[in-house]
Amino acid sequence: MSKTLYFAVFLSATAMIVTAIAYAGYTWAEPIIAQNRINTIEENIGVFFSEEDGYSRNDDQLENSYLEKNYKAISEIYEVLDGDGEIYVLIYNVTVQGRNGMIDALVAVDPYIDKVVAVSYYSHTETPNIGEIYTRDEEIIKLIGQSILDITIDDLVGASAGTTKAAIITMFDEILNHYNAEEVHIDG
Amino acid sequence: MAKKKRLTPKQNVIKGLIKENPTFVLILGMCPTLGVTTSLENGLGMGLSVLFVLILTNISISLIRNIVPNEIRIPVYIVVIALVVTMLEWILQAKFITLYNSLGIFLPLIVVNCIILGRAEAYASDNTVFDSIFDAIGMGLGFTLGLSTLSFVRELLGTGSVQLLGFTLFDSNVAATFLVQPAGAFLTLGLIVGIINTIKVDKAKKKKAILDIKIAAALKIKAAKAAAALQAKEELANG
Amino acid sequence: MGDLLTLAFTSFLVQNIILSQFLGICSFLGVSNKRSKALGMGLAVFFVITLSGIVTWLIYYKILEPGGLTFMRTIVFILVVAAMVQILEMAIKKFSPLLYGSLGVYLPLITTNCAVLGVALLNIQNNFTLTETIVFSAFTSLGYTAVIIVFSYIREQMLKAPIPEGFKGIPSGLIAASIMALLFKGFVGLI
Repeated sequence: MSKTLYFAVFLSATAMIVTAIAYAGYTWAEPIIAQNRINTIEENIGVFFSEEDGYSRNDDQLENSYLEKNYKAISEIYEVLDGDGEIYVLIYNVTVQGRNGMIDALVAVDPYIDKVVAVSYYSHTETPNIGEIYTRDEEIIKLIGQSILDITIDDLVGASAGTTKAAIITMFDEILNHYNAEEVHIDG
Repeated sequence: MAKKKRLTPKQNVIKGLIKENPTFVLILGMCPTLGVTTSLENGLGMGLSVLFVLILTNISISLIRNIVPNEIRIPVYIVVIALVVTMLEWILQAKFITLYNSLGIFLPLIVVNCIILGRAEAYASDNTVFDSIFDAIGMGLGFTLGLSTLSFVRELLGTGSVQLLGFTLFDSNVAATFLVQPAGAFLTLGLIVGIINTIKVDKAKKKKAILDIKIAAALKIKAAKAAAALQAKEELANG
Repeated sequence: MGDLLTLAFTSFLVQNIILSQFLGICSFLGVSNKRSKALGMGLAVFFVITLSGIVTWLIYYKILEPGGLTFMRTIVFILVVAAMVQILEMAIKKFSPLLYGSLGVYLPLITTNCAVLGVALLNIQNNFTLTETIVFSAFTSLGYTAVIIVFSYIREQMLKAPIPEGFKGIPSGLIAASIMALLFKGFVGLI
């Protein structure tokens, strides 16, 4: 067998074996990863608005009527109902580009008084001890209670994480965009 | 050609840990060294991931070293390494999501980590599976040691406390936060490598000084012997 | 257009690939001690990163995604980079032996340069469009080239300074890089 032919055969065999192994690994890992993601979101929502306290998710929500126009950063909006079946909060599931990758966050907004009720970064790859500080409770506390129409984010004491801060500002800008455009505010 | 000396497993491991430490001596794999050492957990996680990949790739390449034609061995090695790293990516994403997130872009970049291709090319392609495993363990542990040291220093001096799996190992009020920034990474690594080099240079100087003294003494004895021999010859000629 | 300019500026200065993202350090330390070497490496890296950024983007969105093969991403990308480097080397050898003489010896090293694979993966991770990919790859690699050339000047000057024996070479280079990184940090506020 000529050398080139042998090489070609060898390489194709390697390629096929490698693809097969990779495919096997992928089919094993993919469902777990997808399920993990859903679990994290449910968990994060559940921490603030658990079913035991009488809150429930509005499954009746018309197929994301809020997202009739395509908002690139907002992937979903959940309605949380309180014990009386009235809308309690809206939870925005936003994704923005951070310093090292995408930041996924859940932002709960009270549509009656236009204030931020809860924030949770459920998936991010920000640098530990630098940008990651923004995702910790001590920084999130500063956001809660602020009006969604005018969010201010402080610089970190010490470590400066300019890009992460810019990403979070973008995130709230996107939410505000949607909030105003779709007139999400509820009177009463 | 002289026969290559075969190292015992213990020698192999120690070689990777100290004499040929990838981070401080060989200066390989610099990108993750500077990029993920902002916290001790991160540094350890990356080091152990590289150890895992090293062991698997060394085994695989050592197994196929006789079947692979010489001309196409580099692409084949690269494909094997890429496959192992891809599998590691999924395992981490499925089971250790926090580590996956903190490693970020450096996880797939383990593929081009010079250490792995270097060991595959320099060691695993010539040695048995058994030896390759220990070489991988040595190099991987050496890399982990390097990363952990660097991240320990950066986290301790940069944030004042070191966290590991929920335990706070140290706590102090000193925090020079510039050390967790990129600039601090360069500085810390530069200082550590500089100190290690200085120690090595000092040792070499001392050795050379001792050697010089020995040579001088030997030369003196030789000269004395030659003088004595010359004197004896003269006496013989005169007497 | 404004977005593209911001992207170009960010990838060139603010998030400089060497001083901020830590990709491409091995070659940065190894090649920056002489001006001629640095220039050669810098140009070669510029070509490879820009071209492979575009090619990997095309392969990902035109072949891998429609075929459901996204899981082969890392393997395919690194093979593409290796192939590109080979092709580029052959092309330069054929069309300009003069250029090959100065650049050619660095090209094989670029395959294992974290920056190349890093930029290719970042393009996909950040969901860039094709134009954004071109801008990002080009300016990121220009950032690499600029820093490595400036650094070679600095290191050549440092050779004349009385540095203690143990700190000569890599350690002093790293400390100089740390000062440069501090300078670049200041650019963050410009955006």
